[in-house]
This record gives sequence, C-alpha cells and structure tokens, in this order.
Amino acid sequence: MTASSEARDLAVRARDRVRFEEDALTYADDAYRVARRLTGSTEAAEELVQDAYVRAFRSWEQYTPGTNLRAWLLRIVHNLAVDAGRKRQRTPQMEPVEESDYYLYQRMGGTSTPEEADNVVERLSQGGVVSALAALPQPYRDAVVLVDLADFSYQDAADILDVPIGTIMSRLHRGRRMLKTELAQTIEDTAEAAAS
Amino acid sequence: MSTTTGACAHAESRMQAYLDKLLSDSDALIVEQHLAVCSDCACAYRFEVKLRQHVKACCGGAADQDHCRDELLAKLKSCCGGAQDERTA
Repeated sequence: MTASSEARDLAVRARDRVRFEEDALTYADDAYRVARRLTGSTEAAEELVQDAYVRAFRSWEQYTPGTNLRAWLLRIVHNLAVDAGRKRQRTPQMEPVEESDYYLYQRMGGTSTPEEADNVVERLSQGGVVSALAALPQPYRDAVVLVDLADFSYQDAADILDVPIGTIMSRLHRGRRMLKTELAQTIEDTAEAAAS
Repeated sequence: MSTTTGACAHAESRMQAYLDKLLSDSDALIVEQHLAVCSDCACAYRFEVKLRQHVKACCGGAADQDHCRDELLAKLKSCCGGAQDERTA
C-alpha cells in the first residue's frame, strides 16, 4: 500500500468513526429502552448497551448506509441479550395456550364495575408479574417486551427481531395469552402459600 | 354477570386489536358501541387496559432513559478508540 492510499484509508476510517458516533449514538436511548426490558436491571442494561455499541462499532463496515440503522443496532442489542440469556439459563419451553382473551379477568373473579377492575389488577404483585414475564419462552417474551413494554410498533419489532410482521403479531397474541396464564398461576401459588 | 351474547364474543375477539388501535374505524365503532351498553365487557375492557399498564409499570416503568451517554462514549473510546481520537490525530 502506498503512502497516499494509506492516508486515504485512514481518512475513510476516521470519517466512518465520526459518522458512527453521530448517527448510531442517536439511538442510544432506544437501545437502552430495549435493553432495560430485556435484562430486567439498570446495571445489566447499561452493560448490554455498551457491549452492543462496541460490537456495532467493530461491525460498522457491515452496515449498509441508507438502511434502517435503528433496527440494525437494536438487533445487535437483542442478539447479545439472547446470547447472555442462553448462558444464564435454558429458555423455558412452554406450549402456547388457547385460552380466552378474558382468561385472567375471569380467573380473578371478574368485577361488577369498571372501577373495581383497577383494584383487581393491583392484586398482581410486581414480583409475580416480573416472574410471569420471565417464564415466557424467548420469542414470545421478546414480542411482548418490544411492543407492550417498550412501545415499539409491530413493524419496528419485526425489524429488530428480523422476522416478518405477521410473526410478530402471532407471537404477541400468543405471548399475551401465555402471560395471562402465568399470572393466573402466580395468583394460585400465592393463595396456596397463604392457606398453608 | 349477564349472559354472554354473540356481541360479547365479537367484542372479545376484537379486544386486543382494539387496544392496539389496529381496527378500522367501523370495527372500532362496533366495539365501542358494545362496551357502552354491556357492563360485563366494559369491566373486562377496563381490566385489560389496567393490566397492560400494570405489567408495564412492574417491568421497568417509563422513566428509564437516564443512562449516561458519556459512559457509552468512554466505553467506545477505551475499547475501540473513539472518533475524537481520529479527529484530533
């Protein structure tokens, strides 16, 4: 490589790095929002985002300018979270259930006024809700986390997870029902523990 | 609770899409008109709305975007050498 081509190469790399910081860091909040929901803790989310940005930085040449940078970055966040999750524990295997949409509402006894519904929901403890979400198989949990907790659109979630939008809709539908089944189970477990 | 009708079953089958704001205006109107006259489904609807809010609040809440951008930049710099280095080189 000649001195001039080496200098040109250095200049290109410098420009790429500046562009990475200018463009990619714009989505740091989104990355953190997803990481926070995928990991369940502030510290783990910050670590995940930092690791993801380091990986993105090193893979910057693979990003095609003009394509969806936000989805590309968040896919890296998601993939790292999945890898970390695999190391920690096996993904639970749960068969999707075909319950009514009102399954949990009915299991909790229903209410006679809409206002009572607020109190019924409040009976679900934070620990129970977090455990129920954690119990979902990864693909369903990811859909629920991205759409219901992190407020991403179906299309954004599909881009992040690199699946068709129909897959997101299907996983979300089943994931929500599985979550209700899990929540109902936590209520039963709590009641049994209190009775014993 | 009153007897579940075909209209109740229809509203239930559309409930998640209604909450997601995915229904057409005409379909959403049918659901809304049913909720206005059916207390059972109105209660269930309220439960579903509150449940979504509760799950979201339990699993992270809304105000969580206070992560440190400077820390992220510092991490990038320490691992890869940041753009600042390149610009000042």
